[in-house]
Amino acid sequence: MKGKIRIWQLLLLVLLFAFWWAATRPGLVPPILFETDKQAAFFFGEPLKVFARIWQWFVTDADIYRHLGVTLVETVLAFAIGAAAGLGCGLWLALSPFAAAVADPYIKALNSMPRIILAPIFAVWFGLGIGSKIALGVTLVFFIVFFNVYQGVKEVSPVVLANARMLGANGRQLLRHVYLPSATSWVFSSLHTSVGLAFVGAVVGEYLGSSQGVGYLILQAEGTFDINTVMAGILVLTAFALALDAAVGRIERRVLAWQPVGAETEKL
Amino acid sequence: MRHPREIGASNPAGERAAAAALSLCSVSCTFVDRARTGQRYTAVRDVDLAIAPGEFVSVVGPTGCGKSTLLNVSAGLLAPSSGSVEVFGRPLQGLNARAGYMFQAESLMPWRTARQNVLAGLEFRGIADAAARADDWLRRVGLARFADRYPHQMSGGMRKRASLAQTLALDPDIVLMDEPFSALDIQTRQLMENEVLALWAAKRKAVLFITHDLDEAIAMSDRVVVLSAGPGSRPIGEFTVDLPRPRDVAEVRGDARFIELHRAIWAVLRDEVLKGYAQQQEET
Repeated sequence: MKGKIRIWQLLLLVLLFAFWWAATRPGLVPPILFETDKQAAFFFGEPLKVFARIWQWFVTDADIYRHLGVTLVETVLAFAIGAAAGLGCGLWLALSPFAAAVADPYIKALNSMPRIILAPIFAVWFGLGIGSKIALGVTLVFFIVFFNVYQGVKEVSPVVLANARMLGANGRQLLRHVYLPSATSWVFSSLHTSVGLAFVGAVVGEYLGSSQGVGYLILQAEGTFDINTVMAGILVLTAFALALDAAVGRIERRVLAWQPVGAETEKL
Repeated sequence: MRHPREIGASNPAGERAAAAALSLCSVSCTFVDRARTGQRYTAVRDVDLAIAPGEFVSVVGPTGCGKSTLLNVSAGLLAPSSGSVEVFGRPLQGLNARAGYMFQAESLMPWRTARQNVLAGLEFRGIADAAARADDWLRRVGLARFADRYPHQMSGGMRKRASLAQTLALDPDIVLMDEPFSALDIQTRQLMENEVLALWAAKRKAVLFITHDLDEAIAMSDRVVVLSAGPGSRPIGEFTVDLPRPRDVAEVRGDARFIELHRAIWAVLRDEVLKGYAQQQEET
């Protein structure tokens, strides 16, 4: 069953690229939407040239690793800082109702603000290096983690809590053994979203102004209307995001071993 | 309030109070609805209840009569509106550190395995031979083979055993149990009841056992207290169960004395159950 699904997924991918190739190949299909048969290739790029570009990046020139490394460092740092801050603030506000009530409108305001527009300000504050990209990623990740932790602490089963207290847990032990595990499960359940957003923050930050990173490569290519390189950059980013997501799934399965999963039967 | 005919000699609560492991003196609990401050609900009113060290007392009553409220007051999780609670002669302040509480709902920490759950209380209290004691209790409740399972990987009966081990591993002087087996099927339930009786017989703790099942109450207890229907529940009957021990909860049900006791207690309980049912009908 699983193999069958994989085969169909691959088939669909090949089909998509074949369609792309056929639709943009000059002279193959008579132009319907465009005036000349060269225009489709200009607007959408050509898959063979895109792959050639990717090959150049990774093999012949081998110059993309530096950019990918920068983007990865930005993503990981943005995620780590944002998640730690979100966890801390979420725990603090969930456990002190007064502070939560005071902070409530401010948190709502900060969360509803479109944070992408902060990127230019961060560029001024932190310069064009990785600092401004991390800052943008942190603002995106922080709220996801914060709200999940806040919810997680609020939804700790009152029975489990009362039981832990009856077993003799003091305030610090309750935090360490009841609130924190409950909250981390919520953090991990939002991990896919927050890692994705950290990545978005890094790439968008690079796109808006930087000297290295995959977002920077895309921006450079766009400046010279090199659509093939733009497409190549997008493909690399997509593959990268998929790999990141798979890694997160792996960590999640290990850390949240205690959580029930669908069924655990084995065919004998 | 009518006073039913009592079977067997039962001392008035006052005489027992001096040596009591746990005694409630005219405890009342009134809950205020936070959203509508005018709404008040008195769950229990003027409850006197004393449990001697080593005594197994069951409290039965119709649903919603405040049985769990009494238990929460005894555990110190809930402060009574009026009245006092004494634990071995000392007024209770804060949580009752000498009591173990076995909850009705799932109370295991889902992120800890059976063994880690049993260890939890021992670790919280910084007991030296925690690991050895936890393993010993896992073995006693028959979970040694399942020590590394998480709660979601265990059956309902296994989770209850783990809870039991978690509570009893701390060696509390008072054990509070809130309908601990109500979610189990009848076979598992009888097995668990016998296990609890065997463990109790070995250690002789004071037990306050809440249940809605009269059979279970008579089969296990030294004394059965009947609560009236709420609001403002109070004990309206006390019956000493003079069946010989050790008992088997399944076999004792056929005993002539058991049936006699059952009939007498049910005569008191039935009216209250009907009252409680009628009230619930009105509310809905």
